[in-house]
Amino acid sequence: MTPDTTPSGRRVDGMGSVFVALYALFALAAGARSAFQLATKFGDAPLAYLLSAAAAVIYAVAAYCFARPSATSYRTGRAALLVELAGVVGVGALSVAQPDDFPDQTVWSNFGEGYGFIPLILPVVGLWWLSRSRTREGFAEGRLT
Amino acid sequence: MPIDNVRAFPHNDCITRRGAAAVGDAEHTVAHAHDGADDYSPGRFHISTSGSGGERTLSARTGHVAPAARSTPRRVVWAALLAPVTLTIVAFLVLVGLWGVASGTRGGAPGRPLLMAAALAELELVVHAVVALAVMAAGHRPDSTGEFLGYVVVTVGMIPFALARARGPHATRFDAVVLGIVCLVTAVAVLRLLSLW
Repeated sequence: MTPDTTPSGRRVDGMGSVFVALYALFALAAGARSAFQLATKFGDAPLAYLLSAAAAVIYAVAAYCFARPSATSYRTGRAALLVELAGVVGVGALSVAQPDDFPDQTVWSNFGEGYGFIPLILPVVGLWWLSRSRTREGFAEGRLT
Repeated sequence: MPIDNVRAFPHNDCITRRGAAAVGDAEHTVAHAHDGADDYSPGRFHISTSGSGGERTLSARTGHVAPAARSTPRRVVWAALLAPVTLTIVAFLVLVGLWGVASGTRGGAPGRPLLMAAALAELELVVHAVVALAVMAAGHRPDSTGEFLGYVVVTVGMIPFALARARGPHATRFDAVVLGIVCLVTAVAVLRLLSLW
Protein backbone atom coordinates (compact mmCIF):
# COMPACT_ATOMS: atom_id res chain seq x y z
CA MET A 1 0.00 0.00 0.00
CA THR A 2 2.37 2.68 -1.14
CA PRO A 3 0.39 5.45 -2.81
CA ASP A 4 2.24 6.67 -5.83
CA THR A 5 1.50 10.34 -6.23
CA THR A 6 4.57 11.42 -8.17
CA PRO A 7 3.60 13.22 -11.37
CA SER A 8 5.39 10.72 -13.58
CA GLY A 9 3.81 7.73 -11.85
CA ARG A 10 0.35 9.23 -11.58
CA ARG A 11 -1.01 6.09 -10.00
CA VAL A 12 -3.13 5.82 -6.91
CA ASP A 13 -2.10 2.36 -5.76
CA GLY A 14 -1.89 0.23 -8.90
CA MET A 15 -4.97 -1.87 -8.26
CA GLY A 16 -6.57 -0.48 -11.40
CA SER A 17 -3.95 -2.24 -13.54
CA VAL A 18 -5.35 -5.58 -12.39
CA PHE A 19 -8.80 -4.59 -13.68
CA VAL A 20 -7.43 -3.18 -16.91
CA ALA A 21 -5.55 -6.45 -17.50
CA LEU A 22 -8.50 -8.69 -16.60
CA TYR A 23 -11.00 -6.77 -18.73
CA ALA A 24 -8.57 -6.63 -21.64
CA LEU A 25 -8.02 -10.38 -21.36
CA PHE A 26 -11.76 -11.03 -21.33
CA ALA A 27 -12.34 -8.67 -24.24
CA LEU A 28 -9.69 -10.61 -26.15
CA ALA A 29 -11.04 -14.04 -25.17
CA ALA A 30 -14.72 -13.28 -25.77
CA GLY A 31 -14.00 -11.19 -28.85
CA ALA A 32 -11.76 -13.73 -30.58
CA ARG A 33 -14.10 -16.55 -29.71
CA SER A 34 -17.25 -14.81 -30.95
CA ALA A 35 -15.52 -13.49 -34.09
CA PHE A 36 -14.39 -17.00 -34.88
CA GLN A 37 -17.83 -18.47 -34.22
CA LEU A 38 -19.69 -15.75 -36.09
CA ALA A 39 -17.39 -16.22 -39.07
CA THR A 40 -17.45 -20.01 -39.21
CA LYS A 41 -20.83 -21.15 -37.86
CA PHE A 42 -23.15 -18.22 -37.40
CA GLY A 43 -26.25 -20.34 -38.14
CA ASP A 44 -25.64 -22.82 -35.30
CA ALA A 45 -26.42 -20.50 -32.41
CA PRO A 46 -26.71 -16.88 -33.58
CA LEU A 47 -28.07 -15.65 -30.25
CA ALA A 48 -25.22 -17.17 -28.25
CA TYR A 49 -22.53 -15.84 -30.58
CA LEU A 50 -24.03 -12.35 -30.71
CA LEU A 51 -24.24 -12.33 -26.92
CA SER A 52 -20.57 -13.26 -26.71
CA ALA A 53 -19.77 -10.44 -29.12
CA ALA A 54 -21.80 -8.00 -27.00
CA ALA A 55 -19.96 -9.19 -23.90
CA ALA A 56 -16.65 -8.62 -25.68
CA VAL A 57 -17.64 -5.04 -26.50
CA ILE A 58 -18.63 -4.38 -22.88
CA TYR A 59 -15.34 -5.83 -21.63
CA ALA A 60 -13.41 -3.68 -24.11
CA VAL A 61 -15.29 -0.54 -23.05
CA ALA A 62 -14.55 -1.28 -19.39
CA ALA A 63 -10.85 -1.93 -20.08
CA TYR A 64 -10.56 1.29 -22.07
CA CYS A 65 -12.33 3.36 -19.41
CA PHE A 66 -10.14 1.98 -16.61
CA ALA A 67 -6.99 2.70 -18.61
CA ARG A 68 -8.05 6.33 -19.28
CA PRO A 69 -9.21 7.68 -15.94
CA SER A 70 -11.51 10.69 -15.99
CA ALA A 71 -14.86 11.64 -14.50
CA THR A 72 -16.58 10.50 -17.70
CA SER A 73 -14.70 7.22 -17.94
CA TYR A 74 -15.63 6.54 -14.32
CA ARG A 75 -19.35 6.78 -15.15
CA THR A 76 -19.02 4.86 -18.43
CA GLY A 77 -16.91 2.18 -16.80
CA ARG A 78 -19.36 1.76 -13.96
CA ALA A 79 -22.25 1.55 -16.41
CA ALA A 80 -20.36 -1.12 -18.37
CA LEU A 81 -19.88 -3.15 -15.18
CA LEU A 82 -23.55 -2.83 -14.26
CA VAL A 83 -24.58 -4.02 -17.74
CA GLU A 84 -22.06 -6.85 -17.44
CA LEU A 85 -23.45 -7.89 -14.06
CA ALA A 86 -27.02 -7.76 -15.38
CA GLY A 87 -25.91 -9.74 -18.44
CA VAL A 88 -24.14 -12.51 -16.58
CA VAL A 89 -26.98 -12.87 -14.05
CA GLY A 90 -29.73 -12.63 -16.70
CA VAL A 91 -28.11 -14.87 -19.31
CA GLY A 92 -26.90 -17.21 -16.59
CA ALA A 93 -30.42 -17.62 -15.20
CA LEU A 94 -31.92 -18.02 -18.69
CA SER A 95 -29.34 -20.58 -19.74
CA VAL A 96 -30.10 -22.63 -16.64
CA ALA A 97 -33.88 -22.26 -16.98
CA GLN A 98 -34.09 -22.75 -20.73
CA PRO A 99 -30.97 -24.50 -21.96
CA ASP A 100 -32.61 -25.17 -25.37
CA ASP A 101 -32.32 -21.47 -26.20
CA PHE A 102 -28.55 -21.70 -25.79
CA PRO A 103 -27.32 -24.54 -27.98
CA ASP A 104 -23.76 -23.27 -27.75
CA GLN A 105 -21.86 -21.74 -24.85
CA THR A 106 -21.51 -18.01 -24.36
CA VAL A 107 -19.19 -16.27 -21.94
CA TRP A 108 -22.14 -15.75 -19.63
CA SER A 109 -23.85 -19.17 -19.89
CA ASN A 110 -24.42 -20.83 -16.52
CA PHE A 111 -23.09 -17.71 -14.80
CA GLY A 112 -19.75 -17.91 -16.57
CA GLU A 113 -19.07 -21.50 -15.58
CA GLY A 114 -16.88 -22.09 -18.65
CA TYR A 115 -14.56 -19.32 -17.46
CA GLY A 116 -14.35 -20.36 -13.83
CA PHE A 117 -17.24 -18.05 -12.81
CA ILE A 118 -14.87 -15.12 -13.25
CA PRO A 119 -17.48 -13.31 -15.43
CA LEU A 120 -19.77 -13.33 -12.38
CA ILE A 121 -17.16 -12.41 -9.77
CA LEU A 122 -15.36 -9.76 -11.83
CA PRO A 123 -18.15 -7.12 -12.07
CA VAL A 124 -18.92 -7.47 -8.36
CA VAL A 125 -15.29 -6.94 -7.35
CA GLY A 126 -14.97 -4.24 -10.01
CA LEU A 127 -17.95 -2.31 -8.64
CA TRP A 128 -16.48 -2.58 -5.16
CA TRP A 129 -13.17 -1.22 -6.47
CA LEU A 130 -14.95 1.68 -8.21
CA SER A 131 -16.88 2.48 -5.04
CA ARG A 132 -13.71 3.08 -3.02
CA SER A 133 -13.25 6.78 -2.38
CA ARG A 134 -9.60 6.44 -3.33
CA THR A 135 -10.53 5.05 -6.75
CA ARG A 136 -13.16 7.74 -7.27
CA GLU A 137 -10.69 10.48 -6.45
CA GLY A 138 -8.11 8.97 -8.73
CA PHE A 139 -10.53 8.95 -11.65
CA ALA A 140 -11.61 12.53 -10.90
CA GLU A 141 -7.96 13.64 -10.91
CA GLY A 142 -7.17 11.66 -14.03
CA ARG A 143 -4.69 9.43 -12.17
CA LEU A 144 -4.39 5.74 -12.92
CA THR A 145 -5.62 3.79 -9.95
CA MET B 1 -9.33 -35.37 -40.91
CA PRO B 2 -8.39 -38.69 -39.38
CA ILE B 3 -5.98 -39.66 -42.11
CA ASP B 4 -4.08 -36.48 -41.66
CA ASN B 5 -3.58 -37.22 -38.01
CA VAL B 6 -2.55 -40.75 -38.66
CA ARG B 7 0.07 -39.55 -41.06
CA ALA B 8 1.33 -36.92 -38.73
CA PHE B 9 1.43 -39.10 -35.65
CA PRO B 10 2.10 -42.62 -36.84
CA HIS B 11 2.11 -45.20 -34.04
CA ASN B 12 1.47 -42.51 -31.57
CA ASP B 13 -1.15 -43.79 -29.26
CA CYS B 14 -0.23 -41.28 -26.58
CA ILE B 15 -1.04 -38.27 -28.70
CA THR B 16 -4.30 -39.58 -30.06
CA ARG B 17 -5.59 -40.74 -26.70
CA ARG B 18 -4.72 -37.51 -25.05
CA GLY B 19 -6.34 -35.55 -27.84
CA ALA B 20 -9.52 -37.60 -27.65
CA ALA B 21 -10.56 -35.86 -24.47
CA ALA B 22 -10.66 -32.48 -26.09
CA VAL B 23 -10.85 -33.02 -29.82
CA GLY B 24 -13.75 -35.10 -30.98
CA ASP B 25 -11.98 -35.90 -34.19
CA ALA B 26 -9.23 -37.70 -32.38
CA GLU B 27 -11.56 -40.63 -31.73
CA HIS B 28 -11.60 -41.25 -35.44
CA THR B 29 -7.87 -41.23 -35.40
CA VAL B 30 -7.77 -43.92 -32.76
CA ALA B 31 -10.39 -45.94 -34.60
CA HIS B 32 -8.38 -45.67 -37.77
CA ALA B 33 -5.21 -46.64 -36.12
CA HIS B 34 -6.85 -49.83 -34.90
CA ASP B 35 -8.21 -50.83 -38.28
CA GLY B 36 -5.29 -53.09 -38.98
CA ALA B 37 -4.25 -56.17 -37.10
CA ASP B 38 -0.85 -54.98 -36.02
CA ASP B 39 -0.99 -51.26 -36.33
CA TYR B 40 1.98 -50.67 -34.17
CA SER B 41 4.45 -52.73 -36.06
CA PRO B 42 6.99 -50.50 -37.75
CA GLY B 43 6.15 -49.66 -41.29
CA ARG B 44 2.40 -50.04 -40.96
CA PHE B 45 2.20 -46.43 -41.98
CA HIS B 46 4.63 -44.81 -44.23
CA ILE B 47 6.26 -42.01 -42.34
CA SER B 48 6.88 -39.21 -44.70
CA THR B 49 9.32 -36.55 -43.73
CA SER B 50 8.70 -34.55 -46.86
CA GLY B 51 5.06 -34.02 -46.00
CA SER B 52 3.78 -34.86 -49.47
CA GLY B 53 0.26 -36.25 -49.63
CA GLY B 54 0.69 -39.08 -52.14
CA GLU B 55 0.90 -41.97 -49.70
CA ARG B 56 -1.97 -40.60 -47.79
CA THR B 57 -4.41 -41.04 -50.66
CA LEU B 58 -3.15 -44.52 -51.21
CA SER B 59 -3.60 -45.49 -47.60
CA ALA B 60 -7.07 -43.98 -47.52
CA ARG B 61 -8.16 -46.02 -50.50
CA THR B 62 -6.53 -49.35 -49.85
CA GLY B 63 -6.06 -49.22 -46.15
CA HIS B 64 -2.54 -50.43 -46.65
CA VAL B 65 0.69 -48.76 -47.44
CA ALA B 66 3.93 -50.23 -48.56
CA PRO B 67 6.18 -50.44 -45.52
CA ALA B 68 8.89 -47.87 -45.39
CA ALA B 69 12.27 -49.50 -45.56
CA ARG B 70 13.72 -47.63 -42.63
CA SER B 71 11.05 -45.50 -41.01
CA THR B 72 12.63 -42.35 -39.78
CA PRO B 73 11.84 -41.94 -36.12
CA ARG B 74 12.08 -38.18 -36.10
CA ARG B 75 8.38 -37.48 -36.18
CA VAL B 76 7.55 -40.28 -33.81
CA VAL B 77 10.08 -38.96 -31.35
CA TRP B 78 8.85 -35.41 -31.33
CA ALA B 79 5.22 -36.49 -31.28
CA ALA B 80 5.92 -38.58 -28.20
CA LEU B 81 7.74 -35.64 -26.62
CA LEU B 82 5.03 -33.11 -27.42
CA ALA B 83 2.72 -33.76 -24.49
CA PRO B 84 5.33 -34.08 -21.70
CA VAL B 85 7.34 -31.09 -22.87
CA THR B 86 4.24 -28.94 -23.29
CA LEU B 87 2.90 -29.98 -19.90
CA THR B 88 6.25 -29.08 -18.35
CA ILE B 89 5.91 -25.58 -19.83
CA VAL B 90 2.35 -25.40 -18.48
CA ALA B 91 3.51 -26.47 -15.02
CA PHE B 92 6.23 -23.81 -15.05
CA LEU B 93 3.72 -21.16 -16.15
CA VAL B 94 1.34 -22.14 -13.35
CA LEU B 95 4.21 -21.97 -10.87
CA VAL B 96 5.29 -18.49 -12.01
CA GLY B 97 1.63 -17.42 -12.12
CA LEU B 98 0.95 -18.46 -8.54
CA TRP B 99 4.25 -16.91 -7.47
CA GLY B 100 3.30 -13.59 -9.05
CA VAL B 101 -0.18 -13.53 -7.54
CA ALA B 102 1.13 -14.59 -4.13
CA SER B 103 4.03 -12.12 -4.02
CA GLY B 104 1.78 -9.32 -5.25
CA THR B 105 -0.98 -9.93 -2.73
CA ARG B 106 1.60 -10.22 0.03
CA GLY B 107 2.67 -6.71 -0.76
CA GLY B 108 5.86 -6.53 -2.80
CA ALA B 109 6.57 -5.03 -6.18
CA PRO B 110 7.81 -7.75 -8.54
CA GLY B 111 11.35 -8.75 -7.64
CA ARG B 112 14.12 -9.74 -10.00
CA PRO B 113 13.72 -13.53 -9.56
CA LEU B 114 10.05 -13.32 -10.54
CA LEU B 115 10.86 -11.22 -13.60
CA MET B 116 13.60 -13.64 -14.64
CA ALA B 117 11.26 -16.60 -14.21
CA ALA B 118 8.58 -14.91 -16.33
CA ALA B 119 11.17 -14.09 -18.99
CA LEU B 120 12.29 -17.73 -18.99
CA ALA B 121 8.67 -18.81 -19.40
CA GLU B 122 8.33 -16.47 -22.36
CA LEU B 123 11.51 -17.94 -23.89
CA GLU B 124 10.03 -21.44 -23.57
CA LEU B 125 6.84 -20.22 -25.23
CA VAL B 126 8.73 -18.69 -28.13
CA VAL B 127 10.56 -21.99 -28.72
CA HIS B 128 7.22 -23.78 -28.42
CA ALA B 129 5.64 -21.47 -31.01
CA VAL B 130 8.59 -21.86 -33.40
CA VAL B 131 8.28 -25.64 -33.16
CA ALA B 132 4.52 -25.40 -33.78
CA LEU B 133 5.02 -23.26 -36.87
CA ALA B 134 7.86 -25.47 -38.12
CA VAL B 135 5.68 -28.56 -37.82
CA MET B 136 2.91 -26.79 -39.71
CA ALA B 137 5.39 -25.74 -42.37
CA ALA B 138 6.42 -29.40 -42.65
CA GLY B 139 2.88 -30.33 -43.61
CA HIS B 140 0.92 -31.05 -40.45
CA ARG B 141 -2.43 -29.28 -40.40
CA PRO B 142 -4.35 -29.07 -37.12
CA ASP B 143 -8.09 -29.60 -37.39
CA SER B 144 -8.81 -25.96 -36.82
CA THR B 145 -5.87 -24.15 -38.34
CA GLY B 146 -7.12 -20.62 -37.77
CA GLU B 147 -7.88 -21.26 -34.12
CA PHE B 148 -4.52 -23.02 -33.72
CA LEU B 149 -2.62 -20.04 -35.14
CA GLY B 150 -4.64 -17.69 -32.94
CA TYR B 151 -3.60 -19.62 -29.86
CA VAL B 152 0.03 -19.66 -30.99
CA VAL B 153 -0.06 -15.86 -31.16
CA VAL B 154 -1.80 -15.60 -27.78
CA THR B 155 0.68 -17.89 -26.02
CA VAL B 156 3.68 -15.74 -26.99
CA GLY B 157 1.93 -12.37 -27.10
CA MET B 158 0.64 -11.76 -23.60
CA ILE B 159 3.53 -12.10 -21.16
CA PRO B 160 5.71 -9.37 -22.78
CA PHE B 161 3.02 -6.76 -22.03
CA ALA B 162 2.75 -7.74 -18.38
CA LEU B 163 6.53 -8.04 -18.13
CA ALA B 164 7.05 -4.55 -19.56
CA ARG B 165 4.76 -3.12 -16.90
CA ALA B 166 6.20 -5.19 -14.08
CA ARG B 167 9.81 -4.16 -14.70
CA GLY B 168 9.03 -0.46 -15.13
CA PRO B 169 10.20 2.08 -12.56
CA HIS B 170 6.67 2.60 -11.27
CA ALA B 171 5.76 -1.04 -10.90
CA THR B 172 3.54 -1.78 -7.93
CA ARG B 173 2.63 -5.01 -6.23
CA PHE B 174 -0.43 -5.16 -8.46
CA ASP B 175 1.83 -5.45 -11.50
CA ALA B 176 3.14 -8.66 -9.94
CA VAL B 177 -0.47 -9.83 -9.63
CA VAL B 178 -1.13 -8.95 -13.27
CA LEU B 179 2.02 -10.82 -14.33
CA GLY B 180 0.82 -13.84 -12.37
CA ILE B 181 -2.67 -13.74 -13.86
CA VAL B 182 -1.26 -13.41 -17.38
CA CYS B 183 1.00 -16.44 -16.79
CA LEU B 184 -1.99 -18.48 -15.59
CA VAL B 185 -4.10 -17.43 -18.58
CA THR B 186 -1.19 -18.29 -20.88
CA ALA B 187 -1.02 -21.73 -19.26
CA VAL B 188 -4.67 -22.29 -20.17
CA ALA B 189 -4.00 -21.15 -23.74
CA VAL B 190 -1.05 -23.58 -24.04
CA LEU B 191 -3.26 -26.43 -22.81
CA ARG B 192 -5.91 -25.49 -25.34
CA LEU B 193 -3.25 -25.38 -28.03
CA LEU B 194 -2.06 -28.85 -27.06
CA SER B 195 -5.59 -30.21 -27.56
CA LEU B 196 -5.73 -28.69 -31.05
CA TRP B 197 -2.56 -30.32 -32.46
